[in-house]
Amino acid sequence: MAEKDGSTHLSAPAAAEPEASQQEQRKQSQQSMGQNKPYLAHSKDDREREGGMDPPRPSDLCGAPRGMLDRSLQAQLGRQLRAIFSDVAQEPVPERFIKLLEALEAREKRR
Amino acid sequence: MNSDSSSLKQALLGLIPNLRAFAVSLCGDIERADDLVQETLLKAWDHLESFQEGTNLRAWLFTILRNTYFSECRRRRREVEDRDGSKASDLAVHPGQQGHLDMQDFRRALNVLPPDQREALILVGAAGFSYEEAAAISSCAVGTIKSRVNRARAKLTEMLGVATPREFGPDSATEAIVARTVGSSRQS
Repeated sequence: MAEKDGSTHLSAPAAAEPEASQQEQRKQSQQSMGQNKPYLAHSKDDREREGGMDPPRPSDLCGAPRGMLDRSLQAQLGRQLRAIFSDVAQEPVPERFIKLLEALEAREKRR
Repeated sequence: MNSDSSSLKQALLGLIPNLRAFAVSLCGDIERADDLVQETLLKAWDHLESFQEGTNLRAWLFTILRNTYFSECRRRRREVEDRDGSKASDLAVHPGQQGHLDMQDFRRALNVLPPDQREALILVGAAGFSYEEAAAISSCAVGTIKSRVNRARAKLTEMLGVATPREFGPDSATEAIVARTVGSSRQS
């Protein structure tokens, strides 16, 4: 699958980003580890979904000052998003995964 | 090799909670999420040689998980035509009670987002990756991640915005109507 061509046809990142070369290196190393791993590759339609989206339409509500409304909403969205994530991230590791890793380790030792 | 596999086991164990959180936010279903995590762990274990020492193991695992998820999505999409179309029709998140944006509404809204936008939002907004790291995980340009995050935020705001009049005091549109009505009744 086409992995190595990166995604240069997509909108380019800002050219003058600091640490651009470092990022580039990191990106390359990320990409190179995906080689020969079909499941790490991205299909073409993954990328094609880029286009054709509606541009963001700001909510036009109630004539409240846009900036204020958006900022408080954004803050709330951010809190809820993090809450959904951390709810699960705080749960203990389920038994099935502990057993799975033990089995994998045992298999390794037998080699 | 034994000490290697034991330290790998420890490292993976430590990252499972994060992987599960990512998977649940991505697919919205804990059982499917755990299957994704299991597949991710198996792939990571079997392909450890493709992990580069010194790079971010968490980012690497997230990459495997999201690639597993998206290829599964593509497979399902081929099987079930236009699930998204029917989903979009229940897209309107009707806030039950005025002024209350509850978690249920939020989860539902999140699940309605296009998967690539949801992913970008979770990576940057919840999992704490930088735009650059998120771009590497999703294998796209930094600019693409930024625009996905922006579109996701705009869409969530649009879907959920009406649910929070309390955020900025009494509904100003209602106030305006009341004022006008009161004003005109005074004149007559």
